[in-house]
Amino acid sequence: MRRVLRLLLPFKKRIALGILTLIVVDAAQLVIPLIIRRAIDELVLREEVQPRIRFYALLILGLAGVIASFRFLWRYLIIGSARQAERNLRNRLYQHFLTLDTPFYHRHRTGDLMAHTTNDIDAVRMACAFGVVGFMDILVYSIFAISAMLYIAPKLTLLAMIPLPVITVLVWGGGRLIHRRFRQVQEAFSALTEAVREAISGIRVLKVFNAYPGELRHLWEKSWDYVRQNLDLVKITGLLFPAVTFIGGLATAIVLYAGGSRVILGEISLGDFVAFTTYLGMLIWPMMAIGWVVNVFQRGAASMERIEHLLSQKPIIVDGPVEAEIQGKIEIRNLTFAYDEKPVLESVSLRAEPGQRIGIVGLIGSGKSTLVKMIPRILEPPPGTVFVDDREIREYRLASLRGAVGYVPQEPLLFSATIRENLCLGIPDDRLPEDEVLWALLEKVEIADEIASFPDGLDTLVGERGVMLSGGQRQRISLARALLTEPKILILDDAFSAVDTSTEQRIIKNLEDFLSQRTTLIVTHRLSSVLNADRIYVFDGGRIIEEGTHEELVARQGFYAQIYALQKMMEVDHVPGGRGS
Amino acid sequence: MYPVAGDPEETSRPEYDLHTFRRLFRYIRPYLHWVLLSLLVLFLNTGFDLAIPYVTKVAIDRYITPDWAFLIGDPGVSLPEGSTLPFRHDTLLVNLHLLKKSTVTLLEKKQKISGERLLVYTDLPKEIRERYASLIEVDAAGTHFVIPQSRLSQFAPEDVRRIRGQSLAGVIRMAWLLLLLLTGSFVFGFILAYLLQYTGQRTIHDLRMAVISHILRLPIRFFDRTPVGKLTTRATNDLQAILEMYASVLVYFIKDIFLLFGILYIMYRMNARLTGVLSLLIPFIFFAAYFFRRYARRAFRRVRYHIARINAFVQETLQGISIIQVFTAEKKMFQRFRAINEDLFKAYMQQLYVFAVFRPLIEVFSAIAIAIIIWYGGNEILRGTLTFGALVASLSYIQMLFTPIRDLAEKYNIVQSAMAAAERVFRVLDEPEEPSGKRHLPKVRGEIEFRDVWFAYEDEEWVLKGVSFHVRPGEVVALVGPTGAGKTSIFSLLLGFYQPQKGQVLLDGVDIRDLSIDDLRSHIGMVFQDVFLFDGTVRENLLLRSQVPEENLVRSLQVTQLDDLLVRQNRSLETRVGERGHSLSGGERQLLSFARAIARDYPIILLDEATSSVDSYTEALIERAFRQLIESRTALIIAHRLSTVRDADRILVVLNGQIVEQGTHKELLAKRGVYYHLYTMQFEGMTLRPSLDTELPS
Ligand SMILES: Nc1ncnc2c1ncn2[C@@H]1O[C@H](COP(=O)(O)OP(=O)(O)OP(=O)(O)O)[C@@H](O)[C@H]1O
Ligand SMILES: Nc1ncnc2c1ncn2[C@@H]1O[C@H](COP(=O)(O)OP(=O)(O)OP(=O)(O)O)[C@@H](O)[C@H]1O
Ligand SMILES: [Mg+2]
Repeated sequence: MRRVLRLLLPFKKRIALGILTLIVVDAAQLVIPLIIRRAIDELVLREEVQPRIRFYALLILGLAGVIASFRFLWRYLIIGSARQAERNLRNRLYQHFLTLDTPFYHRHRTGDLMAHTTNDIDAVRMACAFGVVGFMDILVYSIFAISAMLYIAPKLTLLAMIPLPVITVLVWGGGRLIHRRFRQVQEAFSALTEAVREAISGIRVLKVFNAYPGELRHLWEKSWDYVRQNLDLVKITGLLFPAVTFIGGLATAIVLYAGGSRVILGEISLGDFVAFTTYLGMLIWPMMAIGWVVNVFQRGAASMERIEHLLSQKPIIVDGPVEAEIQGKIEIRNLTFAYDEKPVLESVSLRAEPGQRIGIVGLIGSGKSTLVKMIPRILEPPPGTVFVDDREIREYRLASLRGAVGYVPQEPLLFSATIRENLCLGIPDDRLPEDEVLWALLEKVEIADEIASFPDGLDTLVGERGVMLSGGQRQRISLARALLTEPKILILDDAFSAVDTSTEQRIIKNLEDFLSQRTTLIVTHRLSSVLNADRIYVFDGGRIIEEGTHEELVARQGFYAQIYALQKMMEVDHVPGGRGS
Repeated sequence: MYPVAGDPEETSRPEYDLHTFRRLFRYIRPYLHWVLLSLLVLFLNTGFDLAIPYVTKVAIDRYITPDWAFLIGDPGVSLPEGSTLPFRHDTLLVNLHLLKKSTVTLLEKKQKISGERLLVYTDLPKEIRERYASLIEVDAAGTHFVIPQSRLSQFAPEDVRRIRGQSLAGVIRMAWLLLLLLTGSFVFGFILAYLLQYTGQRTIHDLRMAVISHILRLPIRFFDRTPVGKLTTRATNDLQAILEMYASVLVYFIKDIFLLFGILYIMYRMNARLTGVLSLLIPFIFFAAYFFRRYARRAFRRVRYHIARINAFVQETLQGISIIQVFTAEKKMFQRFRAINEDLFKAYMQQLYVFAVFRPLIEVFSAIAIAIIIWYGGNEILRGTLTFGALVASLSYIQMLFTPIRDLAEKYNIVQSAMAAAERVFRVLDEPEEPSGKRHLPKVRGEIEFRDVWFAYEDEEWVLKGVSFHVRPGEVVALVGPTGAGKTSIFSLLLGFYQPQKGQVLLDGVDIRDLSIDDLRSHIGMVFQDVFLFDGTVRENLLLRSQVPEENLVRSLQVTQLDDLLVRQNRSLETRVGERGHSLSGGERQLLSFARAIARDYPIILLDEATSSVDSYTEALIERAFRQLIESRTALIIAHRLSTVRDADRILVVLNGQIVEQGTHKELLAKRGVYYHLYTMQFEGMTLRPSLDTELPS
């Protein structure tokens, strides 16, 4: 709870002022029954009352004016502060998300993280705004009301108070129960959301495989589970809130009996009695509100706990101290790496001098992508294994290192923005390039014609994940995006798999100049892409089994040579007098 | 960046509200008996609530305040039998409680009634009569003892208790009655809450399943332009908003209306004039509510719009977080986020102003009502037309009346969310489902024909321009061509994902538009260029929650070489693949998606770059097994790698949305056309070693 309140610390002056106005409002409100009391008592005596009654009515109106304007003030001050706190918290959380690393994102589902930025922050804000207001309101209100009651009839007050502790106990116990069930409801809801989200994401698969019936049954179960959890919750909430009202009513009944008797016995006046019941009525609200506020606070605290938990997650992949211009020498020494128990890379060593082109080939699942993800530190290599410019990569500032690395992932991930914005992802907003630069680049990756044929050109929206583009178009945009940052080290992970070979060859030829000044790691299954690499590493089961130039490897007659033969076969068979001969 | 298009869905208009309600009602209908029961419970609950302040009134008027007074002189009107008792020669005792209000007013005006109220007894214990002789008046006949109220304080407490024993007993009865009413209110309150949640949840569950099954049946075109997050919201949060309206506003709104009329009726019966004066406030309240509604609606729209933006942004950037980090675009993204967040904050603040004005305003009205009761009601008391009990009850009723009005803002918010949500939900439900023909083809031979097919995703930007080809049953045909040529689009048409603008696609000689879409797809297995895996186990991804014989699973793993691979990695069918399959390598993902397509015996198989991320070694193994598998089936294969296509029975070369060449690998190479150029470049500069051992290692 303290953590929730800490969010409000920056606004403590405004909140203090807000609470002050709140107190004024409450005080003014609690004066009204006293006025009513006077009025009634004078009415009972019936002497010269008319002008006085008018005066009391006007007094009430005057108080109403004060109450209204101060009410506006506290809402503005306190809820406004809560909104600011909410905004700041959301900023903080998102900023933190941006620093968290791949291992974290592998452990957490996007859907759940989304829930934190919406539901949990909402719950915290509620606790900040209405929790604080409610709490203060209850406190001030009850203190004032109870003092007034004590002033009117001390014994009666004590009698009327008897049921109240029951409320506290009820709310406290019930609140905990509600909290637990509410959590279950939330979990069922997020499971449902995730199931629906996944079904819709995989809609094309579901359609092709006519997988509706099974999927619908699955979703039906999730939805039904959610219904059940909700009904479980309402069994408590539905009972608790009327129960609080009931017990509040019990106090009224006591006052009716004990207070009424006192009026009959002439111990208190009718006005006293009326004022007393009015106060009691006013107390019922805070008593119910306690339940509500406790609820709001508990939800807020639980949400804050989850948020704090996220905020306390430390990325393993963190900045080092060194800020340097990177030349592009890469060295990997005896790297062994495992996602879980079984290592996917075993004693891998690899070297690339600045400007060299390195080919990485091998069987599927042999660890190629895993290896190249170490270089921009998408994955964290064990200490003492990966060096750039003879310095271990964790010593660099992340921005330094990553700024020097251009990465084209195996699966081109585009954002649902325009082509231009996707291209400029790695460029700060104040240094956005001219259109000519972009077009020249697009020419190089052999996609300029296609984009020029779109009616909106560079401003074409590509759809979620780039669905509006063909697979090859996505890959080439992803390539251009990496080239635009002018990296010293370029990593192409299977970057041409959806591009036909002749286009690929043209692209590589266009980039010849560009590549000659960079260190390039090319992961590929098409040997044609690495024929003239300075060195080729062949992977199998997480190990490097062969290395050397194309010629050396072919001469070795090993695994590489076999694959080469497979790819080459057709040409041998079918192109009489083919080029190479 | 990452724009959420100005949401046209938010332009809700009040006229629609009624329509939307009517549609919602359709889903409630199956539970109508529950709803009616809720209404009954609600009615009872309201009755109890209304009765509660009245008990206090009765207690005050009947038991707490004495109701006798002196009537001096000739009343000038006839008084009901038994309402008066003779006292002294020109003074009567009158029980005001038994008189009509107008009579009391008249008497008050003529100043015939004493101000002081009296307790009247026919007998009093002797010792009391003696002890307080000076305080007790006795009538001429000596049968009635009168004690003016003001003198009561001079009696000893225990004597008062004796004197007023009956009144005390009455008050106790009233207290018990109150308790009874409270219990009723409590029990029915609980039943009501449960019933509402129950019917609400059931209804929403039905509606949710309707929405989901409808969404899954929408055409692919719809998914192209609608983000997943948005659609997910339709089936989850939006329905939640509707539920909240039902369970916490709609029915309680009916209760509020009951209450309103109940209160007005009771108050009218207690004092018509006071009620009349108080009703003057009603138009003002409506006026305030009207203005509130106008401003709140606008503020509310803005808030919703920015929330949608934030959610879309977060979802997308979190899914692409590693790309953002590699491109060190964190700062940039944070700035974008902060800007949206700031917009949202401003929208919230605007909403806050609207609310912060409305609520205090209602408070002022409530205070005015109290002032009126005190002032006007006080005068009525003086005129004798209003009892104290009625005045006190009026104060309680007015409080009761204002409670729902005070919550109006919150409720309005809920209703607004719900109506906007309902509109969006119905808009999705109104989207036409995928077109589907009527014809059923339980079995197909696997003959495919495209007849002069023209197709564009948008307007006239033709992606396919007059594509015609024919595939015989059992034939294996490869589609090749440069990227963006339209190969995938051909598959999409064949699957009925999109409809061609011109021309026909035929399966076994039947236009696929005439075929039931489920039937059509039940004959086709497909491997997508973009692999999609569900967050589940390998088995779940193969099964897709349907029945497939175990031997088929085993076979599909064998063909795709996954069986060996899984064993080598200590994995099994039960290994989880992670969100979108992230714990598999790119090639492994492709193989799994491949295995899924061949786990069932489809007569037609479409492969769109099914092995583009698979090494040649594995690919060659797969190919061999795959050929065997599809011996008698039709297969269409898109591939960029020549090794994959060269053994096809026929190769179609697609260029710019047209089929420009077709023939066998040999024929096409001999032609030295597009195909030749596409593929000879693959090994340009390679030295040829004819002596290579081309046997596969086994
Ligand atoms: N959903 C879509 N909405 C709009 N345009 C699209 C959509 N899908 C594809 N296109 C466009 O249609 C054209 C053909 O795309 P298609 O996916 O059929 O090409 P392809 O031959 O399969 O290419 P690749 O080999 O790169 O996958 C491309 O210009 C692409 O931008
Ligand atoms: N996040 C992960 N968690 C657990 N295992 C993983 C994860 N990512 C990859 N693996 C496993 O690690 C191994 C190496 O994967 P990697 O992606 O590096 O292979 P690759 O050589 O790039 O293969 P491909 O040619 O198919 O892309 C694979 O067996 C894969 O299943
Ligand atoms: Mg890979």
